[in-house]
Amino acid sequence: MTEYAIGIDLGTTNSCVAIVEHGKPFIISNKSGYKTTPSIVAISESGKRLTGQLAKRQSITNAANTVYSTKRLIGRSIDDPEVQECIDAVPYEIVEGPHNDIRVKMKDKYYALPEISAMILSELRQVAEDYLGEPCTEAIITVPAYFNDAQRQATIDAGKIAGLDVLRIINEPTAAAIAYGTQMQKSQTIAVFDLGGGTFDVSILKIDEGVFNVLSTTGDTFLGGEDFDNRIIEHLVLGFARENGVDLREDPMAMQRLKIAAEKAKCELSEVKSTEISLPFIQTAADGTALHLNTELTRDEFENLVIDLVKRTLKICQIALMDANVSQSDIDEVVLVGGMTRMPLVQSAVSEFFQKPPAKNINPDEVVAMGAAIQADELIHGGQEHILLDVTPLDLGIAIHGGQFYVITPKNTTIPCSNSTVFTTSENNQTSLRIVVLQGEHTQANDNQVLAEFTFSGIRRAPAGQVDIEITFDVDADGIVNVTARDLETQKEHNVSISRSSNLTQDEIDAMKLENNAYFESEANDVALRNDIARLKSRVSSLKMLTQSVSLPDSIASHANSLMTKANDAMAQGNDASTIKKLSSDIDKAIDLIEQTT
Amino acid sequence: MGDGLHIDPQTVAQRCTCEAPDYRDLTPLDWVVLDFTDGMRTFDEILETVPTTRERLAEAYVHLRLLGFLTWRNTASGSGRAGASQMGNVRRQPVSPVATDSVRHGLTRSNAAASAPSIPSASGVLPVASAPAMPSFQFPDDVCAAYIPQRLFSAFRRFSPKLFDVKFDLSPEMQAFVEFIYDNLSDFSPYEILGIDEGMSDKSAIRQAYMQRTKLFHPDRYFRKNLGPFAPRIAAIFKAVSGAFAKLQAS
Repeated sequence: MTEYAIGIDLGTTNSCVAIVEHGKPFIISNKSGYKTTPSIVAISESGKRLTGQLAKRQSITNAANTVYSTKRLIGRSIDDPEVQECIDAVPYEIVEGPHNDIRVKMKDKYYALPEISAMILSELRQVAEDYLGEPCTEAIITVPAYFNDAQRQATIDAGKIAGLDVLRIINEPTAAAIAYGTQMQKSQTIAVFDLGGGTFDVSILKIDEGVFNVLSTTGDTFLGGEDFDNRIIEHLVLGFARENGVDLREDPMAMQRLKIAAEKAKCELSEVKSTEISLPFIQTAADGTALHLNTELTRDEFENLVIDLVKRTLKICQIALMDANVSQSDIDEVVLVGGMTRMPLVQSAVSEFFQKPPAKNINPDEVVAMGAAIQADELIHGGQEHILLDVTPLDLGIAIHGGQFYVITPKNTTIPCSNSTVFTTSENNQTSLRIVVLQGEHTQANDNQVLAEFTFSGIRRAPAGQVDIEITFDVDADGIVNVTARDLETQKEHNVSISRSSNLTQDEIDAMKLENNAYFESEANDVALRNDIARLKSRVSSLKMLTQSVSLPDSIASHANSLMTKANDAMAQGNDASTIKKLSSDIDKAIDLIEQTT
Repeated sequence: MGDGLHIDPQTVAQRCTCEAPDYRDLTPLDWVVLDFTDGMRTFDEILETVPTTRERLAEAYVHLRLLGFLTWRNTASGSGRAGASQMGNVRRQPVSPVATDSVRHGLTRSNAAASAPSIPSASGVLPVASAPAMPSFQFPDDVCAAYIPQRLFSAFRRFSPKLFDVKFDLSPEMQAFVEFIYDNLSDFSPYEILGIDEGMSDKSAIRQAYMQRTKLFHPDRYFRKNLGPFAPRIAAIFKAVSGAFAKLQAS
């Protein structure tokens, strides 16, 4: 068994990896020295894959081939209204995939979203492996609490493609609560307010004798920091159009610059009262003159732009409290998670709502990954100090006569759980039942997500309503749903384990995994080759110096010269690793020989 | 615990010399007892040298036998009896199938193989013999008090665990405990499932009991452990526990 398991916070805008070492969780810094890695992937002009900071740095010049915010799209179908909204907002191309999923285009190739996430996960895995100096394959990945089954499965697929053994998917607010709660002794009720880059979640937890009992969890998978950015972008685009009569939305590069400027302005406004946004040469006017965007944004203006978004979060907090059956005054502590919670307006709104200031000394960017690492560590090492009691985020049930959604396992039920309900036939002589397993919160069956469908047949012929069929929903600790239909008369059973309806087939996942591995192998070979070339170069220059400084017999001199010519050719070609290695050692021998003879 | 554990004073224990048993499960007293076990001294003689009570010593004996460290025979009545029944015969006469059979355990398999062990009925309640207390699997008092409903105290104390040939990552006590709770799950009231007094209305006490049981039965506690048939049982118990808690919480 491996000794380490990592915790990964796969965020909309930034991701983060943590590990528990000597009983303490901490964040591992990436190659650039940052604790968080931007969740951005790009393919450069030369066809090279770029992730993280490298991808972010070139995002302006290579906007069409730079993919970001895929977490907002993962596990959704193309006709999702939120996806449609996203298609208009991003510079990269989004198309429909073969299984009613989404593919994004980078450099002539279409990628499935789990593949994109896998690139980020591989990068983080690499960061952890570089730190540990050993392979690291076991991980817990966090997702927004409000993610449905398809979104969770797509995240697991991403982990598989990245070569990770995903121990479990846990909810971000729960992870934050673990990281926060393991530090304290007494029992408390806490609220986790998680406003991330793309999603918003609130969870109410009771921490009692090391048991983390999630009382309720709710949220919005399409409300986050990016919406705040978009408000600023909208504001800037409108202002620019009013002034210059030019619509910047037509120009992907300008939009990319605006996006970066908006994000920067947003962050700055958390510290200062007003900030200047200056984007020179953003567009060319019809008459050929250069146009510049130069404006000032004050905190008040910004707050006015986003006040409705903040109010939306508070409404969701209210629902969370109601679901948990607690009132504001029962909350002992409020934990803020996600970079967006640095905004003063968010902080003041939250403290006003919960009637107490949020907990200090928590880094909102790092706490989730740390919690995931703690949980991963406890699982693989059998730590028994903390037990996490999570809940189902959405209602689970089946479609019944009349297209209604009948809930069998209501949301916020502690898992693992088992619930059953007795159903009956709706028509005379009905011999089979079509059971459609659904997840969602709408009363109409059609509006919810279909997890599985199966037919229960062999029912005895009888008038409608005379046969009793018991349907049992079993949810295990991993959140995997098992559905059993049983004829109470004959005891005949039909059991379906919902292998989480993923949009990718196993073959596709395997192929993507191989491709990802191959990429990392060739990447490693590239590095080795570059090192070999550098070595050869230094050997050639030593040999050159040596031949010039001492007089040599002709035979040796010509041998040295031919070696140098060959080496220069090989370096110019720069792809034959074995020749380059051999030349290096040949030159070494030649140098030895010269040194001995003179 | 009036009718505690008795082992005949004339019992002579002998160490098993089969496969290496797992020493990690031993208590300090077990170690001492094992040290004195030489196949010569009787129970009473060992009691004179070991500073403990008769009850505690008997407990250690049973524990060691369950774990496969030792077997014993009764010298008092043993001379006249056939050798075949010598092994597991502990008290004067067999009062239940459990008392006559050697406990089936991976480590005492060589002894048990001859006669297939009988396993207690599913209800876990063995026929109560008129004879005085028999040696049965014994839990420490606090485990009984904390987890076993009052009305089933004596039934549980006579309950003998079903022990498997394969070794699982679960102590024999816990195996027996899981088995017992699982067998009785449908008969238990929500209060009994949580191991609290019937009709208790103190919400914080109920919650506390729930937390305790959660720590014991949540599947995460046994992540990647080899539990064999116990895994689904533990999961079922946990579901019942959280169901019972939800029910009491709502009322």
